[in-house]
Amino acid sequence: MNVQQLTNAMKDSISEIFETMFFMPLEFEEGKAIEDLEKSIDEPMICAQIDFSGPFKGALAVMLPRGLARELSANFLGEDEGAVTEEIVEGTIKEILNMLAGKMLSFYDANLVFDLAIPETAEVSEIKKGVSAGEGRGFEFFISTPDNNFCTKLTVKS
Amino acid sequence: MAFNVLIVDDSAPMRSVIKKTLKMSGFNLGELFEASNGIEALEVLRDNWLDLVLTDYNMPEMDGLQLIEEMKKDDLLSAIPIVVITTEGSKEKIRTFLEKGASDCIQKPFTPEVIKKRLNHILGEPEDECAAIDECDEGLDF
Repeated sequence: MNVQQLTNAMKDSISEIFETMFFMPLEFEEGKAIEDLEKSIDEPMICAQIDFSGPFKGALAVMLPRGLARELSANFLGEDEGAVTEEIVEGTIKEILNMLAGKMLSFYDANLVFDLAIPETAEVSEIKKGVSAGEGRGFEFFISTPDNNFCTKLTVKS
Repeated sequence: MAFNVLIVDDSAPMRSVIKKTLKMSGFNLGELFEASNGIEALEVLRDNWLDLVLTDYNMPEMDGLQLIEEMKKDDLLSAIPIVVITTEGSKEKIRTFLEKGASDCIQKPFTPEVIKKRLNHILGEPEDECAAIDECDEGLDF
């Protein structure tokens, strides 16, 4: 498994989905991680994670401020933000994560077969904890949108 | 002719997006039905007249592949066209969907134009332009 190729596939997947579905340009900021996101916002976050298995195992997680999650959900559904319930926000973020993971794995290698689990909401602490040394590696990404920031974490298990 | 369509997806927001996309696309839509997994889908299929099933793959209880298998075993349901709408991009998975009896496979995200073109092709409706349908699209805009 080529980690560099997988992280590039993840970045391409995120860029494509956010730019084509939400018309939202993104920038991956080097040297920043989940802790920086927590420090930079003063609202609750929503987190979701999806596991995948196949030639290798891992998980993709996304953490974003509730406001951004609501904005993305309204945009996704073509509704006003006021009409979007918390349940819909969670469902939409899980669906976006599902698409990100599916696209990431097909960008990595469409000839390989991976199984995606059902996406689940998670706690930030759970995602930050990640895998123990020797069991795999976790890669955190800090992403800026024009008005907000969010993070993803890619975990690859050995 | 208007077509009755069943949307099967465990994600309520995704069902809503597919519904809106179908309406926006200008596809000749009759009655719309929804189910959140394969088991619910079979119940809807046995109680209603359906012309087309749009199903997700990855669902709890009964996934899209199991739903295709169950429909193909049932004489009353086996002729209904099934389109898999999924995040899956693996060529082997797509081949499996088609081998099991899916009429087509559309990768999320998708556009109203793609949905209309692919569904019209399957249902034998006039198309704006010809489309070769042998694998999922890559990198479609929403």
